[in-house]
Amino acid sequence: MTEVARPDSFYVEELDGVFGPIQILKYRDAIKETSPLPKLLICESKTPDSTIKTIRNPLLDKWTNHGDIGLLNGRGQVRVVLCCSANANTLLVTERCDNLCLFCSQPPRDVDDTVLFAYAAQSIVSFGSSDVIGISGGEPLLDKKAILNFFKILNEFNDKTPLHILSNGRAFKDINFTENFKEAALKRKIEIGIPLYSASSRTHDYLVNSKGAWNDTIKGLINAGNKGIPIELRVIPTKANFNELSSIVEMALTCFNSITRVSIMNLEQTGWAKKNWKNLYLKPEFYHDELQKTCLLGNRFGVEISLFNYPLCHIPEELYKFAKKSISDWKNTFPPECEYCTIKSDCGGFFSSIKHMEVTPKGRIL
Amino acid sequence: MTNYKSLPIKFRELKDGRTVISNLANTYHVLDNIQSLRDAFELGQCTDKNLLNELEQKLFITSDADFESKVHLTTSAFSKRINKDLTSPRLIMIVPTLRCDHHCSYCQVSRVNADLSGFDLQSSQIPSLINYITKIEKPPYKIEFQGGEPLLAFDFIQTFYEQFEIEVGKENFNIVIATSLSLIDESIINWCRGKNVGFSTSIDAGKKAHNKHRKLITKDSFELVQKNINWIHHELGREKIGTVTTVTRDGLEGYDELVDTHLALGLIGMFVRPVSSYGFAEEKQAKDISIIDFMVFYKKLISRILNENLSGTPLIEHFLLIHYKRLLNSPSAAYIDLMAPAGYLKNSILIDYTGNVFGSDEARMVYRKYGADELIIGHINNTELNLEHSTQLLAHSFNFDVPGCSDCVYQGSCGSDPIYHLQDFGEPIGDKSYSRFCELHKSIFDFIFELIRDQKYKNVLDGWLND
Amino acid sequence: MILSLSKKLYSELVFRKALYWLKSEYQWTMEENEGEWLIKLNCSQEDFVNCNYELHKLLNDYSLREKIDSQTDDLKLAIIRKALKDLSKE
Repeated sequence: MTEVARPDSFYVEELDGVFGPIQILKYRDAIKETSPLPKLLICESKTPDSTIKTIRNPLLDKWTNHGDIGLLNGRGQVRVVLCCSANANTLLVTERCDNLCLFCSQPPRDVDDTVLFAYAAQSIVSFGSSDVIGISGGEPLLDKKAILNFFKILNEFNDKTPLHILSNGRAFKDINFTENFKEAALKRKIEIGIPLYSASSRTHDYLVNSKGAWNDTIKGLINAGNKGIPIELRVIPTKANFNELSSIVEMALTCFNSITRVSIMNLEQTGWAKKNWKNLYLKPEFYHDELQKTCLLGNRFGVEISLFNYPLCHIPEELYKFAKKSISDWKNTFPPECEYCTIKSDCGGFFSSIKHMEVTPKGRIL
Repeated sequence: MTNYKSLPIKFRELKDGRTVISNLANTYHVLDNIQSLRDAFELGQCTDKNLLNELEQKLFITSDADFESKVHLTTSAFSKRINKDLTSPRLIMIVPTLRCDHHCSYCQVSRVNADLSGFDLQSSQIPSLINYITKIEKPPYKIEFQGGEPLLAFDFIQTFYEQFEIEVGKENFNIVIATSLSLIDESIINWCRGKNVGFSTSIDAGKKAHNKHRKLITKDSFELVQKNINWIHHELGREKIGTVTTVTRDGLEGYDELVDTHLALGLIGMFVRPVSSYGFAEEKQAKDISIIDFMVFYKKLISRILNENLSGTPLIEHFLLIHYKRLLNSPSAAYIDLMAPAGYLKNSILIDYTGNVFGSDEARMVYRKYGADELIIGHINNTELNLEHSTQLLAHSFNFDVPGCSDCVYQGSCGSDPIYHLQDFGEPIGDKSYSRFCELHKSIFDFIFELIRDQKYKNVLDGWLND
Repeated sequence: MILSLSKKLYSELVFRKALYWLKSEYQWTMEENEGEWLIKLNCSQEDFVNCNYELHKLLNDYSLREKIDSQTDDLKLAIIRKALKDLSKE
């Protein structure tokens, strides 16, 4: 497996049989010890009269910080889900979804996992971060009661952690839910990332593999926008929709309110995208002019437009300023040829999941 | 997609035979000719797949399955556009004095001689003035001093600044002084340093036109204004000086000179429009330059400006840019004279030297010329508002229900000007087939569609959108 | 000189819209009888020919609009009404 920037999964024998989230401490901390989650003290020497579970684990110690949150699966595996030194933190709140996107990176499972919402709320409160935490799934807004309850817990603790929620937006077609969501969620800085894959239903519904999805998402975008809920519009270019990329963004910026920014996301070769790769993935060189047209819409509408997950050698130089270094460190990698590239430090690199990385290093040093 | 439904459209045939179409979402498309329009929208026999896809993406046509959502999208876009014009921030204009040292032949404000008294706001009125402003508008405040010649009342401006800064905070307002610059001196420049104060001045199209119209006793208005623009540019910065050009018959050959003057002064922005019939600019002078004449001048001017841009010299003509931004639904296209419902009162307010409050600069010009009391909204000394007449004016300033505008392809991008039509026709809507306002803006929009046919010119205009 | 237009070909709205934009140098008054719209023109023979051409161009334009709009007029009113209703709620 290619080396990632930050490993996040560890085996800890002492935690075999323990489920759910814990907070990692490196020293006794009176304030943090009042927050909801159980604590785990990682320490050089074992203090026999300690009231908290204490272990010694150099590897875990190396890759974690005081206050990080880990999620235990009951078999001794701990995954660090909220990490102070990570470049991005995201919590999974459900694996259920009402879309079945052909490129889904987290294929849905129809299980009762509402406990994940509770874990997430407690984790956020305990972590106490002022940086944005991502909320994703599945479809986080699928169970309307669960998401409203999630905010109820956060609001009870008066938590103000800024949040970024990924959603297909279909739940917002219900105007009452949209109003309730706005009341509960807007007590903190929040942004909803909603993808729109086409200006018409046939292509969008094909890509998300769900009939009626486009209609719902459009209604949702109108309702959420009108209520002032900040929206990040996301578009993933694929073979099916690359030629209407700029038209989708133009339509969205003409019709919807509260669009804070637009993100063009390069496909990630994971989950279902792996098996559909040949039918979906199109090399960016085949749609450079659409990318260009889309990025120019930013000036026209006064909105930030960014390219995510595009290595710099895959896009024309005039678009470098739009490319963001966005791949989460726990799945980010560069092939060996990139060592010699003069612009490597500005480049976001690749997903570690990608099978075949084609690169053209710039200004090769011999 | 073979079966499709049309959404409501408007169209207009351009002089080159192409047909512009638009819809309630205010998106535009240019068809090759009128037959193309008939095929697509009247006869349902269009077979060009690429065209059909484009029309679908731009909300002109829709599949049956998407009909309901496309209608919602159109309604949302329509709403969004009106809301943009409804909620743009107000420009607050203050006329500290009607006195002026110039005797411009087409003075729009009916100025008076500099030595007269009884035509000034008193410094003692500043607290009431500030109180009024903070009641009707919230920060950040855009204040513009007009006149007469505001620099004849410079102490008033200074005192206003000091008191306003205490009241609202330095970062919460900016001031522009509209002046001929003839009275600029060292002390004024020094006072402006480091403050959010800028200047706007008039330059006519060419020295001959400028000195003919803008009469100074010393007869050198043009030379003086150039010298003073340079002075401000170097002492305070380029962003602190803007120009406005009013085109009259005498300036119709001055397009190159106008550009040369701006370039020599190191300015990168211009704003050019034809003379209108307010104030002293009587029937004769206003009709002296038809919109057709103006457009001949304007096209030559723009051609020169675009070529400068293509050879690397930055120079933006803002009148054209505003129209382009309106066609593109750009949110930064808030220009009071081109809004529907009109910018009158809701996006601008003017406090006259008498303390009377008007809904726009043009309203006070019309009042001064004809004495129409109903145009007075209120007074800075009291809280009473006389809005009945103004509400009527605004209610008649939507475009979609008015003859002449209701069928126009540019309806969503154009504006309405109830005060202009009130003056020229006696009522706020007017007969658009006679209206200079209509002819002017339609001509500019037509011109833009001709221009952007050439990709290199489109690239220049798109580059201006940064602004 | 009188121009007559069959009411079967042109509705009142199309007729009036065409007259609205007719160049102001043509002095006209309008009248009607049971089957026709009538325009009385005060001008020379040459002007009459030009006016006829211009009027028919305008009539064609507004007839085309009428045909295209006939399918979408109700929808247009509904969209405008809904948008204004939404705005007044805010």
